[in-house]
Amino acid sequence: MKILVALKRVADPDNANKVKVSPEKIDTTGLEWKINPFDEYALEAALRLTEDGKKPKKREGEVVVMTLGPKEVETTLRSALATGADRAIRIDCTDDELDGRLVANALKTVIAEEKPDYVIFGKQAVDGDNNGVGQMVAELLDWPMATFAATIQEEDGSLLVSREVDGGMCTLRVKTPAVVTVDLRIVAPESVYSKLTDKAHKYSDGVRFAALPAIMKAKKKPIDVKALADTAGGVTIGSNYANFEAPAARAAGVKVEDVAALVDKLANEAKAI
Amino acid sequence: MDFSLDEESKLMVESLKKFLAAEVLPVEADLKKRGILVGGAMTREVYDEGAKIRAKAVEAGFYTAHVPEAIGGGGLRHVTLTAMRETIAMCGSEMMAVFVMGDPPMGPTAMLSMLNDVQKDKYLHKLMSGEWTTCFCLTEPNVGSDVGALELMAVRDGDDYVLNGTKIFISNGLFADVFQVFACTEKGKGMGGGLSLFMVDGDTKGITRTLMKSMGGDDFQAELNFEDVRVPAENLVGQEGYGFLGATQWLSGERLMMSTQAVGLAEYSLKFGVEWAQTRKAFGKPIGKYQGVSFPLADCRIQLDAARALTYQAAWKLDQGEMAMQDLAVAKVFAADMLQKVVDTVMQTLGGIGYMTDHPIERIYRIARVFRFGGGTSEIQRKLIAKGMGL
Repeated sequence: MKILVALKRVADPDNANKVKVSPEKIDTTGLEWKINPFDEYALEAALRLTEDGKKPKKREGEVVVMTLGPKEVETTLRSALATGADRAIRIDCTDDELDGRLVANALKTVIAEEKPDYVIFGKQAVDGDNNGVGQMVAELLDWPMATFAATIQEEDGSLLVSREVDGGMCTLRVKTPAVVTVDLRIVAPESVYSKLTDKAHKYSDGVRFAALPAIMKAKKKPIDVKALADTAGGVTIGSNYANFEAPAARAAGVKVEDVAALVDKLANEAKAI
Repeated sequence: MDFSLDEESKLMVESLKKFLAAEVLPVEADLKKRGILVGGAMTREVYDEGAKIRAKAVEAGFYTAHVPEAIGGGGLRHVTLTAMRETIAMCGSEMMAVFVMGDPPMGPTAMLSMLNDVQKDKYLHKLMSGEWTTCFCLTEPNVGSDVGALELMAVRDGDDYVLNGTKIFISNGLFADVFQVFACTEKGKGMGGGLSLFMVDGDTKGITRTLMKSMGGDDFQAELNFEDVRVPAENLVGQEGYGFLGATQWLSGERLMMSTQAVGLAEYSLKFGVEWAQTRKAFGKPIGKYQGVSFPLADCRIQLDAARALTYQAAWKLDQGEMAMQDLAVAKVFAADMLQKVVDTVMQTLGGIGYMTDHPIERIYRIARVFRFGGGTSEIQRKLIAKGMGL
C-alpha cells in the first residue's frame, strides 16, 4: 500500500503577529516555519493507516510526503521523515510563483507518476485558509473524494470516511484510489483504523512526535527534487495578488450598565436575540 | 563562533516541545488537580507517576540523549543539549519535566562511561532503560566545595569495602535504586589518590535515607547515613583513589546545566512581568508605559540575553573539545545572578499578586536562590575564573 501526503509549510501560527505586511507583499523574512497543522494530522492519519497499532508496531506500506517550495522547505519534509514518512518529494519553486490551481496541477502529475492507493491532505492550510487544493486534485485526477474527514476506516478496495456534521456524522464509502482531506478530529484516539489494526486499539491523542533516533535516521531518507515546469503541465499562476493588508486592530468593546441594557443591545443593535 | 542550531537539532527541540505538551504538562496539570502534586513537591506517588513519563522519554530517546554514543546514548552535542534543557526549563513544569532528560539527579551520566563491563551489565543498562534511577553522592555535613576533604570513609575489609559517614543534600536520594558514592579511601591524599567512587545498591544494609526539607519545597533532597555499609570491591569504579578525577568532566557538565536552567527559568518568568506590565493599568495607562517599570524589565532582557549567549558559548566550546572550565564558570556565575535579578524584578512588577502562592513566580523566587551555590558556589567559580586569569 502506498499513501501520498501533501504538506505545506506555514509561518508558525503562534507567532503570526510577527508577520510584516506591505501592500505589495507579505514579508516572510525571519519567520519560523512549521508544517501546516492540518497537514500534520494528514501525516498522522497516513502513518496510522500503514501500521497495525501493536507494540512493537508492524508497518505495511509506504508513506510519501510531497511539497512545493525552495530548498528551505526540505526542513519541513525532514521533519515529516523523522516522524515516520518513508521518503519525500519536493517540487522546486519559490513561494510567490504559486497559487492553489498551479499547486493542484503539479501535485496531480506527481500522484499520477507515483500511483498511490490514496492521497491525504489537510483540509486547508492555516495561512491562506483557502481549502481548495485537495478538492482540485481529486477533480483533476477524476478520483472519488471525501473531505473534512473525522474518521477513516480502511476496507478492501475502499475507505469508510466520516465527517462531523450538525447533529451527527456523515459517512461516505469511497473506492480507492481516492483523495481524502482531514479535519482536527482525525488524530483522536479512535479515529483511524487500517485493515491490520485491532478495533480495540486506541492511539495516543494527537500527532506523534519524532523520537531522537528517528530524527537522526531521517537524514538518510531520500528527498527527490522535481522541477515545477516538468510537473505543472503548462499551467502557470492564475491568481493576481492585488493588495495585502493586515487585519484591522480590534476595536474596543462597549461596557453596559446592567443586564437590561445588555439585553436591549443584543436585541436591537446586534439583533442576536 | 557559531552556536546556531542545525536542522537536526531544531527538529529535536521541536519534538521535545511536542513531547512536553503531550506527555508531561497535561500529566502534571492532572496530578495537581487531583491533589497529588502539591507545591512542586516530590512524593513516592509523584515519583511513580514520573516513572511513566520516564519510560516514554526513554522510548523517544530524550532520556539518554546526553549520554555518549559509546555507551548507548544519543551522544548529542552540548549546544543541542543546551537548547533541549532550556526548552524544558522554560516549559513551566514544576516537577514532572525532571523525568524527561536523564540528567542528574536521577539518570545515567557520562561519568558512567568509567564503569567496567561487569558494572555496566549490572547498573548502566538498568539506568539507561529508566528501570532504575541513581543519585550523585558527594556533599557531606563538613565538606562541600573542598572535595579533597571528604570524610565518608571506605575501608577495605576482605572482598568488601566498609563505608561509614554521611552525605547530605542528595537529590533523588530518597528514591534512587543505586547510589554513586564518593568516599575517602586514604586519608590525607585528597583528590591526588585518596578519593574513590563506588556504585552502592540502595537496599544495602546500613543505609538510612532521610528527607531534607528545603526552601524550594521540592522535597527532593535527602540525607544518607552510611553505617558499616559493606560494598563488594567489584563495585569500585575505576582505580582506587582516582574516582573523583574521572568525575570532574561531568561536574563541568553540571555547571552548564545550571546556567541553562537559569536561562530557561528566567525566560519563563520574564514573560509574566512583561504581560502584567502590558495589561495592568494605573493612573490611566498600562504600568509598562512608565519607565520606572519598563526600564528594570529592559535590564532583565539585557542580562538574560547575555547569560544565554555565555551559556551557549560555553556549550559550543565544549563541543570543540575544550575543557572550557573558565567559560562554564563565567556562564554559571552570571546566569545565577541574572536569574535572581529577573525573578526579583518580575515580582516587583507584579506586586502582591506575585507574592501569592497561586502565582508561579512565588515558587520560582524561592528556587532561584539555589543557583548561586548549587553545582559549585559562585565563590568557587570566581576562584576558578581568577585562577584562569593568572591570579
